Amino acid sequence: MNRFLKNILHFSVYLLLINMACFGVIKTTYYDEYTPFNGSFSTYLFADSHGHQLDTLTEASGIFNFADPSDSYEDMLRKVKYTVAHSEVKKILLSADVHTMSTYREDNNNLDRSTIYATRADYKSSYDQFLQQYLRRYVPLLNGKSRDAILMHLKSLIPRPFNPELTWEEKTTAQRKARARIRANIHFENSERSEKLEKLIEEIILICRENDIELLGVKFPLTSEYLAEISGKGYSVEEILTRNHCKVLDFSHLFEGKSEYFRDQDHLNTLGASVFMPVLKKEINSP
Amino acid sequence: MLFNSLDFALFLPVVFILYWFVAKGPLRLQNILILLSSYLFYGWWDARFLLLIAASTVIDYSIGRQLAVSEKAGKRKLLLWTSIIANIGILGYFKYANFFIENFIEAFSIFGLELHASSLKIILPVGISFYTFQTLSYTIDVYRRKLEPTKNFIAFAAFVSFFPQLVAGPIERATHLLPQFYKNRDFAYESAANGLRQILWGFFKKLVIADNCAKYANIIFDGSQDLSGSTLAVGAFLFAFQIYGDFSGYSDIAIGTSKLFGFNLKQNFAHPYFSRDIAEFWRRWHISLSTWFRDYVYIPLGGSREHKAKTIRNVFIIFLVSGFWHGANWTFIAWGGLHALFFLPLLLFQKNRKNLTVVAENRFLPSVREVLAMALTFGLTVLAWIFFRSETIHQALDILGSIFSHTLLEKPSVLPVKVIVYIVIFMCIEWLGRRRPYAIEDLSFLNKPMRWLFYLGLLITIYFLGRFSQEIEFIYFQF
Repeated sequence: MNRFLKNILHFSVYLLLINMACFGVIKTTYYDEYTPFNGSFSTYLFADSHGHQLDTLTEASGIFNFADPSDSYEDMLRKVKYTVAHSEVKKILLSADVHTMSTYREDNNNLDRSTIYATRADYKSSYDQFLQQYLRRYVPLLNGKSRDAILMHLKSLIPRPFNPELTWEEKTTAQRKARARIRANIHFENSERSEKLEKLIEEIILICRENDIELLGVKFPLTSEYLAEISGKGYSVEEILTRNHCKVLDFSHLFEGKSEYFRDQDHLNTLGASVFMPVLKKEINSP
Repeated sequence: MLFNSLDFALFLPVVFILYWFVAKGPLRLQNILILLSSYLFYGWWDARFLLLIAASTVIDYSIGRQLAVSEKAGKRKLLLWTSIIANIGILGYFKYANFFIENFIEAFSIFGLELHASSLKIILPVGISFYTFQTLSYTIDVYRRKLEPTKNFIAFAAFVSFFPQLVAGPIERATHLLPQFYKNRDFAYESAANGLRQILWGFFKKLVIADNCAKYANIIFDGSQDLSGSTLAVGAFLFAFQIYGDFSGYSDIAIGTSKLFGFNLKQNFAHPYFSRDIAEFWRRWHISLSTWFRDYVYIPLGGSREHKAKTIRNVFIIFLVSGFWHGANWTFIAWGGLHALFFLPLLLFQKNRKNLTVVAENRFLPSVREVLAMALTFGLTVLAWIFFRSETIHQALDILGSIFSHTLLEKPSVLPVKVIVYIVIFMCIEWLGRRRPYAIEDLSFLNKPMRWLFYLGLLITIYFLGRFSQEIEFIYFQF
């Protein structure tokens, strides 16, 4: 037994070193990239990559952009709870895009990163909290998402021949349509909406109501090509919000035909974001 | 609890430490620990399942005790049938009730009679087919006086619920596993190290081979109606490796885990895709199930000792029952039937025991004849897997129709080259280790640093190439 334990411990040291190296990589390239909280605002934006594209441009309008790519309503709920507990929040802007209640978004989320905003109450048990909040985070060798983040980082280190990708505007109509179709198929791979996410939106609405916070839904601008692809698809986030007397600001058609404002089929570029911000500011302040 | 879960990653070392350091000494304490751990492991899915396994344990233990004191043939037979009916009854209800209801209604509808009955809402307890067969083997062997009925309830309960092989086998015989619960178990370094190596190989098979194949096989089978014959052939090929990697990977993890606790389980797979005929395939695929059917169904029915018609009947019975054991669907029965058809010519022409040794036993490479024989056997198994994987017989026939059409010559629309490369490398390693119970058992030709480098390399390969963003269940859990 002693020999076995000695070898196991010896081998574990190597594994620990590999684990530390992996953690070092993902800490800087993955975990630290997740938006840190700022409690000095009264209006907060919660969304996925559609909102994240606005970057810090929102701050001039008094809005803290708390959106991160791939945030699901579960991540947003954790952030909302944290925000309510740690700031004087008066107004919340919540993504009401049609894809946000898909099973795709339920499966592709930031639950491993938003744990920093979670409390014991967000987990089924202390054991579950230990697994999700600590083990998965600090032992990347046991976490598939960490592995994916490391792979992505390693791929980014491989020098690529100079072959600049065309901007959305430079792409041909056929190329844009094809990209939009691929994206729409990913977002709407099946017609089922996530019941889990639906319940979480209701919970966000309830928290806002209990804390006297104004909740506004926001549908971000989309390209004509993507709008054509998702026509008739989507899940009723807007319906849930309006049913609960929350106003929904629909900007999805705002920049239709203006491909110069987009980075890709469903994300604004910096120019688009800077043009969009004043419109958003005006709308959220209008009675 | 899944082997490929964080829960198991914590569970196994904790149980290992408790077993060898806390419970070491009195055998009874170790058995109690195994029993409690096994119930925790199984109850992790759904605590209600524990009632079933406990019921099965109590029934067979009690019947075993009754058999010990009964000398009258009639009473012994009655006890045996009580056990068979109870066990098969539980299995039948949970696994086959809806199948029979639906087919009963369908059969009546042929005669224009419309029956209305809603399907029962039954949850299929994981692994029920496995532990039911294991407990049945105990009663049958006690009835046949091959095994002394146990007086040790804890040992028996631990035998029925032994967590490494509880949910997907190998299906152990009471004659082999139960006595191991009576003997003191001393820690053996070589066995434990061997166990860890086998676990590692099992995870490679599951996470790298099976789960990567599953991704594409699922896409192809789910969209089969719109795909060309060539794409469907790729799907069937990938499914063949998915199921092999998944199931034999599970068996490797189960056997390896048992070794860590001083237990020795039977080999369940012996490189089946290197078989040169279907008879050899069945000596190498899911060995614990095929030998179970051989010993408890085929031989009692007369086996191949009687006239040809009876032999043919017996072969069909075991293959069809074996297919039905996998699931309550006509597709599994068709899969079994197809294998019976492939097997029969070999049996009738007495060629079924032609290939008893490992292929290319004293050579590095196989002969051309052997390659052709292996390719043909593999092709036949892939053909049968189409039925196994399809949702309905209709879908399977449609897929076969597409494969055997001109669209077989089209360029496949789904061709995961990366996964095919993994399969090729995997099969090369399997070929090199084909004389061993699992491919990487013997690494003695490497010195210690190289061996460790190999293990680290394999771990890193599993980490970077395996699919574990989500915990994907083992296929055989549903059976």
